Amino acid sequence: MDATLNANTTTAQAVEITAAQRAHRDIVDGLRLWPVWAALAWHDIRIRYIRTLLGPLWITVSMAVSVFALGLVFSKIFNTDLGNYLPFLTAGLLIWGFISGILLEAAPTFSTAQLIILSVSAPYSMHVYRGVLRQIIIFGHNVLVFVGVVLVVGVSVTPATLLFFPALLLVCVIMAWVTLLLAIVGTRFRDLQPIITTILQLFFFVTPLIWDRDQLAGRAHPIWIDINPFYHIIEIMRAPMLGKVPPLLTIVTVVAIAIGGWLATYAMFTRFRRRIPYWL
Amino acid sequence: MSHILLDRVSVEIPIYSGLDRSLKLNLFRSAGGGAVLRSAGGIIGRDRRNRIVVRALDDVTLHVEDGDRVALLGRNGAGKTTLLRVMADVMEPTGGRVQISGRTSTLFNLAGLMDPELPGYENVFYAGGLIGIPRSRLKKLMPDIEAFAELGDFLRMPVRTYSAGMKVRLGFAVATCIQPDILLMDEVIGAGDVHFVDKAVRRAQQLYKQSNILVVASHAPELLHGLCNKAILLDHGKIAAMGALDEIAKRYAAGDYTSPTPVPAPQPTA
Repeated sequence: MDATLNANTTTAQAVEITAAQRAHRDIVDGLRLWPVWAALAWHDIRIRYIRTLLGPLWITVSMAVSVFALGLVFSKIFNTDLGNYLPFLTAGLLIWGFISGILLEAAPTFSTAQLIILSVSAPYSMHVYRGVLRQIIIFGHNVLVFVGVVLVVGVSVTPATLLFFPALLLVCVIMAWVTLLLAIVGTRFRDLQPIITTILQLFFFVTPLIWDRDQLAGRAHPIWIDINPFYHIIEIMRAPMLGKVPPLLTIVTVVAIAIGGWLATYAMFTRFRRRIPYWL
Repeated sequence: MSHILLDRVSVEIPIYSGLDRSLKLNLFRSAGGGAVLRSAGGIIGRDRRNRIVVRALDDVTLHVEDGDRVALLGRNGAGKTTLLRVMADVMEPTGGRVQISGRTSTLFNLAGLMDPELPGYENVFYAGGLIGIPRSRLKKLMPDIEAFAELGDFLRMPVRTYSAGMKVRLGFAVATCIQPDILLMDEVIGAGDVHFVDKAVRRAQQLYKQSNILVVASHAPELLHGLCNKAILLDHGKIAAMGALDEIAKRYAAGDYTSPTPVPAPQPTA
């Protein structure tokens, strides 16, 4: 009946199951528990803005303010047309906020869920999905800013725009393994969190977000952009938002990251899953 | 038929805080040799990889069957919570085998699973969801939860306004609103007032009249009369005694933790 909701149910284990099966089951059962982690993700957002007047709309407001300020300043610096620049900048910052938000919260995923992990036998992956969904919800609020920009300056909406949805799905698949992997390592090694913060700061500047790759033409080799995984993950979502089809290299890279990353993470999870409560 | 089977289970928890150096000299002094110094807590030792570990459970073998209502007794750090965690499949032991069959519900620190900012009603869904009860089912069970918790209008107030005992009332009401095959509780009942303890024991009795398993860790065996029929006395992560509640409670009260077999000192392997 409520097969999806037996969060703390231990089914008969007449046959001993291997670590790989446990890891696999954790990942799959976690997905089935979506009503629980979806509610928890909403709960996280609500708690953050409880007793505020605007509630989660504060997310939208703060993004709108930074996009507007950055857009105004950098369109002057680069001497570009605000009508072209603003949608590019907004889309880039939105996606960056989404990805960096997930990465910044990934490492302490299990340590913040400590009470739950040590109290009920539920799949660990549900905390990973909860974290990703939380950022999707925030992203959803931020998309309103992009819609506003589209309405004001106009962005070409083409059939390619629809590619946004599979792109988002693909990026979420990547973010799920990234979160799981960082959560495993971050539970054992508490230095991971400051390391991630530092790396993200670096990539914010070397990834085409505020500037576009054309502006670098002739000044730096494009290889420095093409080997940057953040570029591809952002571009696969940004291109459709601007009505364009993402470059083939980007699509291939992103698919490879999704598959390769999950294989590596699955191996890690198999090996270390049982150690997680000991590391908390 | 539900059962819990533990076969030579041990749990060694590594300590990663750079304690290594300061502990090196004193490690086996208290546990080794003839006169064993009886301190509270598990046994501090080293594992195969020479890491500092706390041995919270040491070679525990037991079988809990349908109809067993077991009290876990023992001093602070004797391994009661760790044993419950192994039974709940929250922790896989570092050694030995575990076999559990039956729907398990846990009531460990449920008050800690509530969100202080949310009102009581919302927390029923929050905590209930975490222990695996669907929202729709909780809605149906709400009158029962309200009646048991006896919190009245406080259910509309944020949980941060609750006292510890009030949180326990709500947590206990949620955890026992469905009947699991196996219910594991850690020091829960004792936090309430006398009236509540009485009520909680009666409720648990009612739930576990028939064929089910109940395991309760407690420091107060006098609360468990009429609820439990068996008891396990733990000491330094080992089972010191197992048997009828009355007999074991007597030994616990007298401070008689002598195990049938002497507790061997942890072996520092090369």
